[in-house]
Amino acid sequence: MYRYDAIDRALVDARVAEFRDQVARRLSGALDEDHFKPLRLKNGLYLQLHAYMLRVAIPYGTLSSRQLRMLAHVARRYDRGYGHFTTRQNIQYNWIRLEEAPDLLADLASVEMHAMQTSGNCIRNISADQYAGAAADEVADPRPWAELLRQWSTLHPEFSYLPRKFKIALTGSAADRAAIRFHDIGLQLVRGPDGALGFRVFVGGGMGRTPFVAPLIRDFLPAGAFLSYMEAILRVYNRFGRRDNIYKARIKILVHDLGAEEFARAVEAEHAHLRTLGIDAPEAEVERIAAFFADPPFETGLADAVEDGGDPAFAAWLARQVEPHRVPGYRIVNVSLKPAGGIPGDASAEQMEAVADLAERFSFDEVRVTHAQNLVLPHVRAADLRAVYEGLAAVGLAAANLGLASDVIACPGLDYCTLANARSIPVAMAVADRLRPREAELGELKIKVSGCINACGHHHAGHIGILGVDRKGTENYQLLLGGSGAEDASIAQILGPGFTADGVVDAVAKVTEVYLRERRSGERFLDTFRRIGAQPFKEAVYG
Amino acid sequence: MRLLTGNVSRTGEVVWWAGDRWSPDVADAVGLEPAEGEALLAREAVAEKVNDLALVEAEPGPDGRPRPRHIRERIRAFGPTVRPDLGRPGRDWR
Amino acid sequence: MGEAAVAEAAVAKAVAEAAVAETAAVAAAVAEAGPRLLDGGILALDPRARAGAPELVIAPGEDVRAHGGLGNLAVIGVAFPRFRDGRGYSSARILRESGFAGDVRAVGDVTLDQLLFLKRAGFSSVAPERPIDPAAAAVALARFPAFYQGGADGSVPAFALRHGTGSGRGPAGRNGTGHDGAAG
Repeated sequence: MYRYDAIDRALVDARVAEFRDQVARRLSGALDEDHFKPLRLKNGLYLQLHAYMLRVAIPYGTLSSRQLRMLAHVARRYDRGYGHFTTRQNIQYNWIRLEEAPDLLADLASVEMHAMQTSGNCIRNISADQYAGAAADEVADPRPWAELLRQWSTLHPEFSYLPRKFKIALTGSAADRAAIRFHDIGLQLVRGPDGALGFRVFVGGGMGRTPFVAPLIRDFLPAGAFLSYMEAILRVYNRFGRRDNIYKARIKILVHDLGAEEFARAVEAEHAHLRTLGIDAPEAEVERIAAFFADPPFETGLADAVEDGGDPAFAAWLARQVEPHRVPGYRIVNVSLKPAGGIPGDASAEQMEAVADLAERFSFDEVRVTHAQNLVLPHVRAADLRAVYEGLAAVGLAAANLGLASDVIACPGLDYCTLANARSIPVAMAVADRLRPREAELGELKIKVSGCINACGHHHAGHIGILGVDRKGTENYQLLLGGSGAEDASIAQILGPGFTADGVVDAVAKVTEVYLRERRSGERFLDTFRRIGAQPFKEAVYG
Repeated sequence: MRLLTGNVSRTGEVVWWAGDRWSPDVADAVGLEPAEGEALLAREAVAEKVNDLALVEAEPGPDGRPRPRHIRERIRAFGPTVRPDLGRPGRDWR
Repeated sequence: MGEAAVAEAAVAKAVAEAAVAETAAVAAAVAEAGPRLLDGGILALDPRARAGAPELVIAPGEDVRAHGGLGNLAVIGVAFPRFRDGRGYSSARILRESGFAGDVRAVGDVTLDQLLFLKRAGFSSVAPERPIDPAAAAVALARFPAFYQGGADGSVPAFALRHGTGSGRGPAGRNGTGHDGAAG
């Protein structure tokens, strides 16, 4: 994992001191709310329905045990004993007091964490493949590049008052576990014809009111021109992105209006200029950062077999939650934060501490957070899987449902969020309860629930998406089908008129019945939908 | 009838205008006529002690006290529906 | 971490700490030079600041590159009708990248909390709607000992401090090597 040097530490400490001063000026009345709001937002502090909410950055979803224990401490000391892991690999606390926020940030800084730029019209936390450094299918590790981006984007002098928020995701595999094509910039590490490392660069994806799958604007960006090219994209956006209408201010609208080719031309022209200015990190810096992500001391000659000991629950967990690792004798363990009756993505302080302990004992001290609101222990010896399973079961985290119907993604919705029009969590829980008995039979089924058009619950990218809206003062839910946030990215389509909360659960059950009836061998729900189209589903739901 | 509500700047806590003070308990809230509400809102906005000030529609609740009409404001008043353990004891958002 | 790595980390830490001290010294020198108040409520951020009204004011939506022959001007204003509109930051940087050495002034809704970004983007003075206390400005401008990016105020990026490459100096320094750092 990356560790701060004196520069990183001094910068984060200075930021805490700056925010402490800003909060003091706000509380004394020297700073009015209009001018304070963007400052607190850039430190991750929102005012939500019940209290302030703090969003803490988990850079590219990586945590050490020590950091996860600090997140548990924050939950206990400053909140109400729990936190919510988000769809962008961050964690949110729901009950924060403004006057305590500077102390909270100082505690985070003590474990090399911060909440900078987790909100506001700036470059947000960089997200990446949660299997980075462990995946069997990885071309190159995205984490060093994500860290380089984290540093480049932090307190950027030119890009701190953008037209709108800006999100970047990276993957080092052809399989996309980071939803890169739904980001403002999506980056895929690839090898060029001569074996050199570079990026495929996608720009202008996003969800929200106007969803787009990002088009490719550069097929191979040499790694050495990485930062100057990012700078060029951001400068074109900062100068020419729309600022007259908040709903048209994301870069996706600029890319769409100009067309991908014209946008790419503008970026290339700016890049020709910027790459001469010494913006790109020297090789020594890339190597310095990459060294932090060297392999942990994996053992060699380990037995690769896993025995389930005839325990069906353990066998089901092994089959569902455990993925191959690129080193023989190791596995990637997915920890479900979607237990029956649980709130998607929520974890108590005790659960966080239990996972931190397991990571320390069995996963080289590493934990990852996924955009699907689950956790990952990336490097577990096959021989330790039983112990990990039992440790997770002891705190209610041994559900075996990764990628299944009850592994629902949900934003906080109207239970917490001031932007929401309808509740997400109760609907997600009801859908999960309804489908859980048949979820093994249904196979991979990604259900995603948002409580408003901003789409934090990624409903556009759900095989089944649910969007909560306000219809004449009551909650109403639209059903969408056919989205994907993976390498086969697509945008889900609205099936028809909306439903009540109970009605949308029934409708979801009906569309899964159509799938079971119509599917061909080996087809997922998404494959069947793509083959037969929306009509049979419409008939089943509205007929 | 309307209620004046917002969140305390210092803490973020939800509060309701209770006639002569802010109260965290919606049961203390007083129903306001439109002109009275607008005047209060303007006055409190200048004071800058409470953020996100809003006048919200209310109706008499089962106990005869005013309660917010919209589910959003009832959730603000009573807590997240999915964590009744964190809400106001004995109150129901429904 | 192996022994070699520990030793390397210790060296890197020492280098970084020295670099931070060096930057702090630079910041102190800059603080000595400014910020200071000029006539008309103009706050000077660095020695390029000049008294007097701007000869040209660039609006947020205006393409600063469309103007030719700016080199002879003493003061160019960049308008900030609303502080949230950040187009002026790009305009200032582009001016500095083009070699403009006069005063670049942020005019309008700019407050204490934007000063550091403004200065690093190449602004040498501000004409704020509401007065900014020079003492508070000095504290705000000296707050951070280092930055990850090079600035158009001559500040160097963290990677240059870490490796002593001298690369990545902002355009005001103009002694960057244009290093492409082909990474493996």
